[in-house]
Amino acid sequence: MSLLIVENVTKRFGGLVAVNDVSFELQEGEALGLIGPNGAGKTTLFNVISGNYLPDEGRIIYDERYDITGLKPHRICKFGIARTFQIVKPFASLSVVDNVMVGAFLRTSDTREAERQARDAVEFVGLGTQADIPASSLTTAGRKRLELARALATAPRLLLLDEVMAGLTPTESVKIVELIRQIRDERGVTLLVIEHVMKAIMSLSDRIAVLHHGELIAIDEPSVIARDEGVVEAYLGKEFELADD
Amino acid sequence: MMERLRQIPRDFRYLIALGVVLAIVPLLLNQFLLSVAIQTVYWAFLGTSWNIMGGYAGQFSFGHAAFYGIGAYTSTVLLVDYGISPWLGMLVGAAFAALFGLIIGYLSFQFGLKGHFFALATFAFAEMLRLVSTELEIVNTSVGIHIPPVGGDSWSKMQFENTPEYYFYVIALFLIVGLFITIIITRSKIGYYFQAIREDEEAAAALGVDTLRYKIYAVMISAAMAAIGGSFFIQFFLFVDPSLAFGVAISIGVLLRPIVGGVGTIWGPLVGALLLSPLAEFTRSFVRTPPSFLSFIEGRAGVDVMIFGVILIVIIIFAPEGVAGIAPRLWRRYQTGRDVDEKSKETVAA
Repeated sequence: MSLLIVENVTKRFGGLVAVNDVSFELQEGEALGLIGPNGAGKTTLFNVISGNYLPDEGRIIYDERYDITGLKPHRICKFGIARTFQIVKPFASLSVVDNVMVGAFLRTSDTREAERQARDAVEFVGLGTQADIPASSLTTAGRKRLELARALATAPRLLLLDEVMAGLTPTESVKIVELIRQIRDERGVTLLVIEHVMKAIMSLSDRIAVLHHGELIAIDEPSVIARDEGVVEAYLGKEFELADD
Repeated sequence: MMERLRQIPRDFRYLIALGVVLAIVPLLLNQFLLSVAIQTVYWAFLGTSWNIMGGYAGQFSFGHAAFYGIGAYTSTVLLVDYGISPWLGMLVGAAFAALFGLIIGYLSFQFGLKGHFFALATFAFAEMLRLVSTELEIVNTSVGIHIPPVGGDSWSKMQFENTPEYYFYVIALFLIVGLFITIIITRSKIGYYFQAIREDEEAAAALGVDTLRYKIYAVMISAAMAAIGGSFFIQFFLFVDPSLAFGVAISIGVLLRPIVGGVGTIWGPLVGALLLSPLAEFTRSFVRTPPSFLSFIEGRAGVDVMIFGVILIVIIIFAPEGVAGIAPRLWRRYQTGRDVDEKSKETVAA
């Protein structure tokens, strides 16, 4: 079944059409990669889905039943859609586990239960040994993991990941990819992933959607996308084709 | 017994200890020191109220006098015009203040007022109430209202002319309750949500926090407590007028204690009050009768405010997290320093 249906969504900023008549469906359990050059409208599309922006046209249908278009972000999170931010937003003065507890409190009002769930999530993302230090003393890689743990603590069915690998070293990226794979395989969370690291996104995704100037120019399996002439032209470039073979 | 005590979380143990200290303190003080102690505890209570909204939820209020004054006037008018006991009156005042908090919170937050702009809005609301009250017949305009003294002690009228210790116990009880509420908040969902909003509102919303609702909760809780502080002080002072109730002196005094003591910490407002309030009282009495070589400052108002200013500048430059914020850090540094000393001694001995 379709967990998320994006239907003819358009978002304009003044004269600029950031997202132009985009439609696609996301199956439950699927990992969909979202790629495209800078300014293609990837993050804008995320913000429309997560409720940070109101679309000018189109609808977002969740779970085939709920029209969540234009709901406030906290309502959308309650439905089971969590997101991370491209620029990480830790609650700096709180400890790592307290950060994650904020997410866990969405599903429980019991402090002990929230802490138990938060520690689970912290352990799962590999921050177990740093659970009680302030979030401000985490490294960039640590903060990315914290974003993941917080989002996971809200028990999402759909997770929107906005460039979790940006700013990480290749070794750190590999570990995060592994973690994201686990989130899908072990927790059964459906994924919508924005990423610039091609190798990572190609191996992680079941399908890839390509945005260019706000339009969806292709959506297909990674192997097909890598050979799509329009996509190569718009974004991947000739060198990618060569490097991949 | 000791085993039982140890199972109680640390902050509650501190609170019990504070309760014991507060119960004993009045027995050791003379008339003047008792009035200093009442002022100190009273300001600690007001600071604790401000701290919930300004410290934990990060919504800086520069107009807490609005809530304070609503409490002050409500209980006074109910007592003087309708003969209703101030105990009941202060609850009504707290409810009115919370309602006012709901209204101004909704108006400000719904239209996206944040940071400095929100602070200025709270200031404007307090000034608005001050100006309105100077014209309002029901609060006897700018003339103000005297509470007729009952001459002696009366629990129902909350007047303790013969035994001012009771004033101390009343406000001490309020402080304990206020701190208790603060501790409960910090240990529950609402407190985590407040702090998440303070640290990053967008991230909080993405984690399912209804930021508008929780910010309004913070304002309402804070407002109700400030109103009770206002009712208490007017019962103690037996007079209220627009500038006493809604004046900027209240708004500033209320936020100074937590800022000096430690914003967003449980004990910060109390620490700040312990430092500032006795200082204010002693400076005032010092200026009233200075030694002969300083006779030129005799009777000059505002010296305490100048000293406050200097302290505030020093705190903001050297300890922006406040005294209660840096004290644990200094203590740890002192302890690690001592450990290092011990170790180096051992090394030398070996």
